[in-house]
Amino acid sequence: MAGAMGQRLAELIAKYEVPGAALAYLHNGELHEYAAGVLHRGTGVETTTDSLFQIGSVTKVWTATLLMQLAERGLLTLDTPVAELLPEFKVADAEVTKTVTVRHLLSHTSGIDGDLFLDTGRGDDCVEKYVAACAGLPQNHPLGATQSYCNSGFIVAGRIVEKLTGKTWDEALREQIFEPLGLTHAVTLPEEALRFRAAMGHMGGGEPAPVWGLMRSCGPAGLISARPADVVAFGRAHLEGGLLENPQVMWEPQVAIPNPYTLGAHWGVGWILDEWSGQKVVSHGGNTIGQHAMLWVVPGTGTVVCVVANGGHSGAFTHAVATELFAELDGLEVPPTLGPPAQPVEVDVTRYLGVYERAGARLTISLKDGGLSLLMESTGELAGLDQPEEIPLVAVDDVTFVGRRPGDPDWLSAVFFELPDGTLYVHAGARATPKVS
Amino acid sequence: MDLQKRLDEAAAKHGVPGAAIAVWAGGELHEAATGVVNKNTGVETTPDSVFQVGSTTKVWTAALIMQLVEEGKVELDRPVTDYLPEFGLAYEAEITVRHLLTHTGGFDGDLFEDTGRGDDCLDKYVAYLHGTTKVHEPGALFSYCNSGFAVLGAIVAKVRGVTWEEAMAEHLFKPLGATQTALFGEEAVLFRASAGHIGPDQVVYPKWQMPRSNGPAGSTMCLAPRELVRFGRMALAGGLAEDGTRVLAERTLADMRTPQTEVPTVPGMLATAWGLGFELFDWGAFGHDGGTPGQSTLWRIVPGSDVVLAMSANGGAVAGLIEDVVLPVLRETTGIDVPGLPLPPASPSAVDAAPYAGTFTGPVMSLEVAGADGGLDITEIPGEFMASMGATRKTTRYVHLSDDHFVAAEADGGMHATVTFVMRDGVAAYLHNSRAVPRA
Repeated sequence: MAGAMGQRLAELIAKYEVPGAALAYLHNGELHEYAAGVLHRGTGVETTTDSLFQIGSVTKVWTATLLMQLAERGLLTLDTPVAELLPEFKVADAEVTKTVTVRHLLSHTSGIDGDLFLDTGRGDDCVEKYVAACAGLPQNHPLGATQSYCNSGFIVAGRIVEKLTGKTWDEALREQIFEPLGLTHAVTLPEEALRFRAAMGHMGGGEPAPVWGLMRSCGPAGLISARPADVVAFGRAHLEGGLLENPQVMWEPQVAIPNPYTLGAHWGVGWILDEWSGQKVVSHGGNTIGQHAMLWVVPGTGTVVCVVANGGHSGAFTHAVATELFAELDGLEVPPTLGPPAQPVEVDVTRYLGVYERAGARLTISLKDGGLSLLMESTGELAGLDQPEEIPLVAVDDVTFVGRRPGDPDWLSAVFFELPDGTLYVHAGARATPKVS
Repeated sequence: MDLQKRLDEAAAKHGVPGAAIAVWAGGELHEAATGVVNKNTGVETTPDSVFQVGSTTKVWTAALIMQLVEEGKVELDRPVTDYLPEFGLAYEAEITVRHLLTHTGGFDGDLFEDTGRGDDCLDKYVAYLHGTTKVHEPGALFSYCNSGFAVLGAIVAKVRGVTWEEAMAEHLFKPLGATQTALFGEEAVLFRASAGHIGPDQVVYPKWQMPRSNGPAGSTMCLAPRELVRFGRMALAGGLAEDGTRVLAERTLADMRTPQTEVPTVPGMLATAWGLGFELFDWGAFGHDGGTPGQSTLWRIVPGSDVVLAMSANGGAVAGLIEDVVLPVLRETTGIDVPGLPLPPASPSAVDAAPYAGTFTGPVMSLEVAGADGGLDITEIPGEFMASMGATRKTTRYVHLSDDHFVAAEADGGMHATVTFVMRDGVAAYLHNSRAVPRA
């Protein structure tokens, strides 16, 4: 595939209805870059390898790296309580307020509601204001008990960077990562993106998204825009040095992901950890308003891959690119997305029926037409952007179920699990949601 | 009118990276675009590409104020502090809304303090103005005043209870039906958006956008030329948008076009008088010009001919586009002998330099005027702010044009600069180069 990648990328974006995509990968020390399609169906501007895409939550690894740089300078440790670094920090649970650590934030194990998408303005005080607004955030699960994806935790982590450096998160990122790595096509603010070709997200119907990006307060959790080559350079620095003395500290497993079929088996510090054909793979993905990005790093082979896409079936697309590319480059088999079993499985689902709720989302599991059905509803600030969706579920084993939206090639998976206190949870979309009734 | 061919040829000839033009004439919209919006990206300019339109924004801010006047919420001759009690300068002066709209407030107009990206940027800017120094008595003289328009934007925001940008979108973009508009980077990124090009090599200006604090004066707004034409047609239609929506009262448009103050300047290409927000040209047109680092916009509305022209360019010798495209198109469509750019006379008349010689000092630069062979040598000595923007000490030879008007002997970027001296008792009291610079 590698040789004919230009051709192949164009075929794959057509297959997955992706308006535009770009790919950069490092293999045997050599960088390869490809681009296909358009950045914006409205303007028709073509994608180039130098175009910026929103890398969304891949940003979290960059924010985690900033904290690890500060740790290497002796300003904190992974086990430093957040309250020690940010005395003003507060969430709903007083005990969590006191005891949650940097490690919890960077491994998504704090249990703090992670989906507060609050617009605190365009100003340089937006992250500080966001952290002040966290005072009422409830717990999705007890501190450290399991893993549940936590955007708000990374914004708090970003605030720690601001507090310790006296700079905005954006400035600290530029000084501690962009500049040392010589990244020329990586930015955080839209007025900076305007110096470059910049991708626009596209929605379900293929039309350009109503707005370009998320509110600035989300910065440390997901607001970098970059060309894939610059993201690969960041991944490369985690293998070959340039940012941290000991980058591999960030690959140490911190928690098993209850649903290992979506992103990976474990969370490290910032990174998601998995194993393909016996090789350790560290990765992170990102989704913003109609844009999607993936970064994979294989320490054993030195290969680093970044793929970005601005709409369509982007998750299935990046998975397809990875599957073909890693087979050819490193002989690795990317695990296929979990789908329904060949033979139907009989499972007693009675105990799973009910309502699961965390801040911003309600999941209702019910029996419909003789099978399980999952109703997903947004209840937070993004409720207006998302329509409720109902998906029939198919059992894979006693605790694992899959389903997909009509017309979507992506299967979603859900895993039911119990905490030692007996509470039933469902783990889907990287989040743990407790059963409430 | 073969707009496309003219624009292509002129842009190539004058080193303009990208430009777009929209002309309403003969009851039709004509558009053309050439080159690229950004040399680094190579994205081609289209007629719906957006450019930073700079100070043409001031007319839009003026319109927002005039809507408040129509609604009885603002009176032009009341002090600014009636609406914005927090407004004040380094000295006592009663400055009215009309003073600000007509650039006659008399305080330093070139304060580009960056007060951040946040919605509090205008409040912070108004607070910052408390250190602003005096140039002349309120109402005494025209002196181009960006700061005053930022204050007008703050009045709009305060009285409407929204941001200046929200007021612009709600009260002008929407009723006008303007679509190719952006006030923030996150909006401009939805379009093919022009970047400014500067210097001998025409490199992309490193900072795409100027600070938001001067938004109401023109630091942030991006438009396709057709949106300036849309506004111009509304002005010619007595305040009605294309679909019949009333944007401004007919009377308001008449007031905005009525001369409020004379501009000491060389007549012709430059406005000889100011209305409320609008520049007024002695050949019958009104409009405004605008610029941001590397980007330039020219906007002319010609009543009687039903002609509106707007052109934006993102670098190069824009004067060449004016000479080769704008002026011929205006002359052809209006039948008016539209005056050209000022030129030094073939044999300048001798002049006694004594009344003009001396040092003139303004907030952003000092100017030393000395007699020289055939005219005056004027030396610009940049102040701290201008120096930080890269300005250096520079001497330019000026020759006598007429009365107290002088024109640069050599063109800079295709344009011969002019200065006019404002005389008091036979001696130059101010050097006027759109700003009134008082004798030190």
